[in-house]
Amino acid sequence: MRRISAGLLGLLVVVACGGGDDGGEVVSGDDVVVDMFDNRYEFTEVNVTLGGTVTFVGAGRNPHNAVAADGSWSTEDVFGSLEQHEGEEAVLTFDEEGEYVFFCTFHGNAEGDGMAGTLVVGPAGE
Amino acid sequence: MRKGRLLLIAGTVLILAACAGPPEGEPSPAAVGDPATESPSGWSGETRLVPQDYPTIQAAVDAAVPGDLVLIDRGTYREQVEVTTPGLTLRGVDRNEVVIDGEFQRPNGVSVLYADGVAVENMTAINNTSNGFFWSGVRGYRGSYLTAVNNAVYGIYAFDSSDGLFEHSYASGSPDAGFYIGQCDPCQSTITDSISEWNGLGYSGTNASSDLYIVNSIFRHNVAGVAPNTLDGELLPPFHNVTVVGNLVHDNGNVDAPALAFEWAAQGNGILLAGGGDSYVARNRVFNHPQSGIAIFPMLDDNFYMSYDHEIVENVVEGSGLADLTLGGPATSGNCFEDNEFSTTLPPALEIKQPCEGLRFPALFEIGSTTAQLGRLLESGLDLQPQVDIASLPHPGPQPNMPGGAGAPVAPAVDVFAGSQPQIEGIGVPEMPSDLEVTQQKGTNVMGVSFASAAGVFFGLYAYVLPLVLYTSWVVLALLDLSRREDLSRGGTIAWMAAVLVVPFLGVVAYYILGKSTIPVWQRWVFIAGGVAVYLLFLGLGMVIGGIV
Repeated sequence: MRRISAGLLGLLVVVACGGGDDGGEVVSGDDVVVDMFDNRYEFTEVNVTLGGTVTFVGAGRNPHNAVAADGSWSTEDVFGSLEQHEGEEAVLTFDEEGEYVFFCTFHGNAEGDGMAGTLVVGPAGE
Repeated sequence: MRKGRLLLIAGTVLILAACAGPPEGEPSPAAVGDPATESPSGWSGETRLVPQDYPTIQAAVDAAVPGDLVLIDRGTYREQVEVTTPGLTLRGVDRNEVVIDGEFQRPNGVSVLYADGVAVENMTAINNTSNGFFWSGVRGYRGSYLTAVNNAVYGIYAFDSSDGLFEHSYASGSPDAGFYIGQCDPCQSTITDSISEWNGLGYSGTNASSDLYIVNSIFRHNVAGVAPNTLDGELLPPFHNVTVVGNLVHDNGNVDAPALAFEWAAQGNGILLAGGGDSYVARNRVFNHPQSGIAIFPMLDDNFYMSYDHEIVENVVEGSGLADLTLGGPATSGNCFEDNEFSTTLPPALEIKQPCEGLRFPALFEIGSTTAQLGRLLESGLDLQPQVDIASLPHPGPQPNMPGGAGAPVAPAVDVFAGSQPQIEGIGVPEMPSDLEVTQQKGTNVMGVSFASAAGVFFGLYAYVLPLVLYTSWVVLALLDLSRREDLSRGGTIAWMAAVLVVPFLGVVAYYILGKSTIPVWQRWVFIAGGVAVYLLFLGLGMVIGGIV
């Protein structure tokens, strides 16, 4: 019965607290998901493996996007619009190594002010 | 006190210990200021005329240097204006005839990004896919005599910004909020002498805290009126130290106004404090609301935020369908109500049980009014809420022009708060307008749940009914089991019966765990875990479909 009680308490807490995913500033992986909140990215440092993907997801009241400061890529390239609303996704695949500053054209700038971050595309194992 | 509520309270204690929200954040960067974007304190002496010198507002802004005035002549400007130069003043020569029209194609009418001290005056922005007027990441901002109509997110909006003022402005037709100040601490900002109507929320302030004043304004015919709130999507949760004084808040609950899901959940409330704490709501006149005139609720997002230490005093509240004053739970005992004029409260006798001075009842709140909002979110998730095309919403009549018009003194938005912080001691309750009257009648309510929405009733009552049924069945079965046991002495039986009856929730649970009940283990699983699991399943489904998780 003690285990029952502990399980119940745990369930209660899980349901009440939700996922509690506060994210952080750095994320790494083969395939990465980045929420675009009002008016910031969930992660401001994104490391993705060569050939991997970054999925930018609209998660704010306002529309957002992600655009490389050097103009080499943009969520608009795959989504078709600079305005990604809540729940809308843009999946970008990165086949070349590189380091990019990216920003939201509505809430940041190419200098890295406001809604901005850095993306590093590197070989596996780094 | 109902047994069901006791059960919820006990659960609440456990929940709160496990998932209290994060501590208050550090001051936002905008509150500190950035030398690279600082504004000059005075006018440069340069005036750039649109369209006489520059064909577009953006061209004039791009040519301007800090401290310049961009003076805009009458006309409709089909452009988006982005300001990144500090200390500019953008001014229309006529508030009603200088119109920036987004044509539902461009995001913002005017956006000020990381440029301190920019003032925008005496003009209108309509039909933008995001916001009418928008400041982000600035220290020093001012919007004066602005009109924002039918913009798809916010009308007049400041984010991650401090030292600001919105005055003599008007906003309508925005599904999120007419006026919005978000993610700042300390905000050092004021909204005054403004009107917000036909929006999702008249005012919304997510995680906006400290030295934030909403005063002397009118919030009417919105889905909900004034709603400081806490959400995890923005930094610096929870909100705290917001002052709402001297406003006329009436006839919110407008189902023909546009609203997003969270705004729909607040439908029908006048002033709503959702999570957060330490706020002061005083001397407002609040009437004609199908739900509550003034309500305090917790906020559930990724984290759970109880409301704490809010002070509701000296308001005049009448004509509420649910209750004039509502304390929705779970909430701490720090919230207080005193010297208000009202007819009804939920729970009853709030001012007696939760005074601002003296002894307060612990854990006094109403659960049903809180969980009913889950039903509202469910309605939204199932697309059952009214869908409103903002392009079809009415435009207001002409709004007052800025005194002095084009020739008014030019002043960049520097040290705004120091010169505009309201003296709230001198602000009284607004007079009842002569053309308005209290028309809202008290509605049909059961256990704190208003019979205004099928989904709301279901989830609202669910919070009472199932826990009550579960708890009752636990007690009955425990007593039945005890009455049939022959292995216990008479004293032992009486002791356990007393524990089951006298100690709410814990007594019966203790019996099942420690009392060597003869009920088979699998049946105890069904009684306790099964029932609770069903309860949580329904709440979980509501949260998922409603979009909370």
